[in-house]
Amino acid sequence: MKQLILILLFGLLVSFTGCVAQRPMDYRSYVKHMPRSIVVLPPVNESAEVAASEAFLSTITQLLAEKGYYVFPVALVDQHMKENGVTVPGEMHKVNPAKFKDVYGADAVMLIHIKEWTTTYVVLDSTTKVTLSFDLVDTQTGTSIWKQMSTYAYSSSQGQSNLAAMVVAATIRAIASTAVDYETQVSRYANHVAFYNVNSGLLTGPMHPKYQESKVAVQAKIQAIQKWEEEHPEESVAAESLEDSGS
Amino acid sequence: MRPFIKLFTVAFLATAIFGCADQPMYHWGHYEKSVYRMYHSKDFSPSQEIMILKKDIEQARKKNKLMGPGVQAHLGYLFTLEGDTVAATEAFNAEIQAFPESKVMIERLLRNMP
Repeated sequence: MKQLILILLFGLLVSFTGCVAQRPMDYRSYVKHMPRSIVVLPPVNESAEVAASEAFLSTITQLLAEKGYYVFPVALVDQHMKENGVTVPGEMHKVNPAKFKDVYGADAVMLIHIKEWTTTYVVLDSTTKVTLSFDLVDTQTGTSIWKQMSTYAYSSSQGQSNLAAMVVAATIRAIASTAVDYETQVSRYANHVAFYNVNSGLLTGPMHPKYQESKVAVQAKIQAIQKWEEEHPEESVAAESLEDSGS
Repeated sequence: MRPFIKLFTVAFLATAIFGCADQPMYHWGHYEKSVYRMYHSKDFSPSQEIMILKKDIEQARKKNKLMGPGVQAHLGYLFTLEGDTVAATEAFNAEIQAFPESKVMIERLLRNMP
């Protein structure tokens, strides 16, 4: 009997979520302000792990650059800002985006918050969890062109339920040799999940050999959001006014 | 026997999932590790990192690949820590050569160098 109820509940869940059309990711201002170069600021650390911000800096360049963008040397930017009196990430994030156009020639600035960066040990099992929020801001207009949240958790003894996670877990084990090394690897996967997601990830950048080719797919994404807005006029107005008040 | 089957499955899936991804555009060598050590290694030594990165650049040249964005600028920074402005200038210029996107930043750094 219990099982039957569970099955029924599951069926209801599927039929409910199946009906609600998700608002597709809006890439319109991203395309309008397509950056060629991105400066990544040291993340604001909201986690309890003191060293998280600096450890994070070593996990982002490669993934971001291979997506087709020039990524400014992260440590050098950090040092340069510190030498100029902007010493902590919180202050760096408050600098007017236009300044990064002036001083570095950067088209966009990536603002990251570390929401969570923990490793918990229970007997022989350790679980590392990294949660990040990303905000890519156009330096010329100050407009936010891409926002994303990303979480990645890995437990050393967990049975991986899905195949992709199993592969990722195996790769982590192969690459990481020390505990901190292992944590930065988890952070790298959190970045990967955010940047490379097909529906909500970063667009292929101008320095990528497939940039021109990718424009067809981007056009389809733009049509998807336009179509969605036509079908949901009330919600799109709400979303727009939200954007206005935000900027 | 079973571990072998598991290993094989993982390897097969890895190829299936990541295999069709693009080849990396750049050679990265030890750049990210080097950035990491700068902040976290108690015995961080610029000269040691310089040696490692120079080897990476040599390897990229052999493979006829471009070093990733920022790597040669980072090398230039390491040279400034050692007080070697000549080598630093050279590395900074190599970054501009490879990536004109870095010009505004690097020229500013060059102007401020002692």
